Amino acid sequence: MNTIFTSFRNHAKLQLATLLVLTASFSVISGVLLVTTNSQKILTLWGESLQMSVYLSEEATTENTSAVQKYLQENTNIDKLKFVKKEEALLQFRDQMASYAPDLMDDRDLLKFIPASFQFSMSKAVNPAEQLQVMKDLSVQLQVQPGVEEVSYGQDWIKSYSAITSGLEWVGGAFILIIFISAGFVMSNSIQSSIEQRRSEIEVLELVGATSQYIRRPFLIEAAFLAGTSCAAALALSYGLFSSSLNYLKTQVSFLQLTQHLEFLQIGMILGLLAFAMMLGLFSAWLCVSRINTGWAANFRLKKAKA
Amino acid sequence: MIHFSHVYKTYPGSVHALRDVDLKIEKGEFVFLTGPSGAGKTTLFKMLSAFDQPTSGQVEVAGYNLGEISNQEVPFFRRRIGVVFQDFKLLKDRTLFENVALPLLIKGERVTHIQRRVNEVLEQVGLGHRAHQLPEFVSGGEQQRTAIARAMIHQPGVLIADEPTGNLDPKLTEDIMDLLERVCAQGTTVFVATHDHELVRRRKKRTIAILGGQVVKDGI
Repeated sequence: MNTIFTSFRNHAKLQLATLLVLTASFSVISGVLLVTTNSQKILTLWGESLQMSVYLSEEATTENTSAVQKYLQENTNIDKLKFVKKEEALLQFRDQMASYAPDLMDDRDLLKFIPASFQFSMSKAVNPAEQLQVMKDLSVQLQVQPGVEEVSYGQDWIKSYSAITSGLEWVGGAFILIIFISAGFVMSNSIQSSIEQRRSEIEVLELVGATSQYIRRPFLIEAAFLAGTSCAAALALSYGLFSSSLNYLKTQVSFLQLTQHLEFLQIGMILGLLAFAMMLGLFSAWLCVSRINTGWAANFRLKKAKA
Repeated sequence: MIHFSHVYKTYPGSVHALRDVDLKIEKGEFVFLTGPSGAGKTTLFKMLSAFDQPTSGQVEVAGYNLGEISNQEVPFFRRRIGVVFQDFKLLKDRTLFENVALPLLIKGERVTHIQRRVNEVLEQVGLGHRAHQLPEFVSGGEQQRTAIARAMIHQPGVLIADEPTGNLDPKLTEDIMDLLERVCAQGTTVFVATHDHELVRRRKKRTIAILGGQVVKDGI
C-alpha cells in the first residue's frame, strides 16, 4: 500500500486524470447496464400482464368450442382460462365505448360482429424471457384448430418493443466492450508511466534478488486499486443520477407508473462490475509489467546506453 | 567461489569485451581487478552478478553456472551475492535503514529479525546514528557505506564492488577499503574493481589486471 500511495503522490496529476477518465467510463457502462436491465424488466412486466384471446368464428359449432377448450385446459402453459360469450363480449365492448360512441348502446346488430372468445394469460411457470416465443407457438397451433377465427396477443407492439430492447442490448454490449477496452488502455498508460518513474527502483530490486512477482505485485495492486476505486465512484455517481431520475419520473410523469418497476443494479451485478473492473486493471498492468520486468532490466538499460 | 573458464564475450559488431578469461578466486579471498576504462572490467562484473551471460566459456559463482542459469533462478542467485556500485544505487525515497533492509525484506524474513540485523550492520559500518535519514541528506562516503551494508546484510558468499571508491576522497576511500577488508575477514570473498593503482599498491592484495579483454597479470 505504501508503494501505491508513493506512486499517487509522485504523479498525482496523471493518477487523478486516470481516475476521472475511468470513473466517466465506468459511469457510462453502469448507465448502459441500468437502461438495458430496466427495459428488459418492463418488457417482462408487460408480458406478465398480457392476455391472449382466441376468437371463435361465426360458424364454430359446440363441438369445435369444446375441442378448443379441452386443448387449452390441457396446456400447462396456460393460466386463468375464461370463456367469453358473445353477449358478455358485447356488454364489455359497450361499457368501454359508451363515453366515446353512445349510439352503440342501442345497436342490436353489433352482436353479429362480436365473436365469442377464450381469454387466458400465461402461467407463472413460463420463463418471462421465453414468453413471447411460447405465445407465438401457441398461436400457430390454435390457428389451425377448427372453429378458430383469429388469435391475438398484442404481437405487433410486443415485437417492436422486443426488437428495440434486443437492439439496445446489442448496441449497449458493443458500447460496453469499446469502453472497457479504452479503460484498459488508460490504465495501461498510467501503469506504464508509473513503471518508467520507478525504473531505477526496479533495477535495484532486481539487483538485491527480488523475483519478478515481487516487483510486479505493487503495479498490479495499483492498477486494481485504480480500477476498483473509479468503478465504485462511478456506481455511486450512477446511483445518484438514478435516484434523481426516479424522483423526476415520480413527480413529472407519474401517469406512466414506471417508478415502482424501475430499480438500480442488483448487488450481484454491482459486485460483478467491480470484480470485472479490477480484473481489467490487473490485466492491463500485467501486460505492461510482463514486458518491462523480465529480471534483466538493468542489463537492458546498460545495453541501451551502450547503443 | 568464483571460476571463469575460457570465457569470451563478444557484443554485436565484433566488439570483443572479454577474450579467453581464466581465473579462480577461493572463498574468503580479497582480490582487486584493475585495468583502464574499456578494458572489460564492467563486462566481467556484469557476468559475475548475472546481468550478462558469456558468449562462450563457463562462469561459476557461488555454485551457480551463470552461462546456463534460467531467468527464474537469477533472483535466487543474486541473494547469494552482494553487489556495490560506484553510484551506490540507493532508493532515494527510503531511509538508510529501509535501503539496507531491502534484501531481507525481499527474502521474506521476520520483521524482528530484520530490525535486529539491520541495526547490527548499520552499527558495523558506523551509520547507526543515521539509520532514519534519507540518502540525499548524508555524504557520499556514508551512502557508499550504506550500499556496502545492503550488500552484506544477508551474509553473502561473494561481495562484488565495481569502483566503490570512484566518487570518494582519499580519506573516505581508505575507510571504505577498511570496511571491505573487515567484511572479507568474516569469510566473504571480496572482489573489487578499481583503476586506483596507488590504492592497490598500498593494500598489497592479489590483483588481477585486465587489458583489451584479456587477463595480463594475476598476483600480488
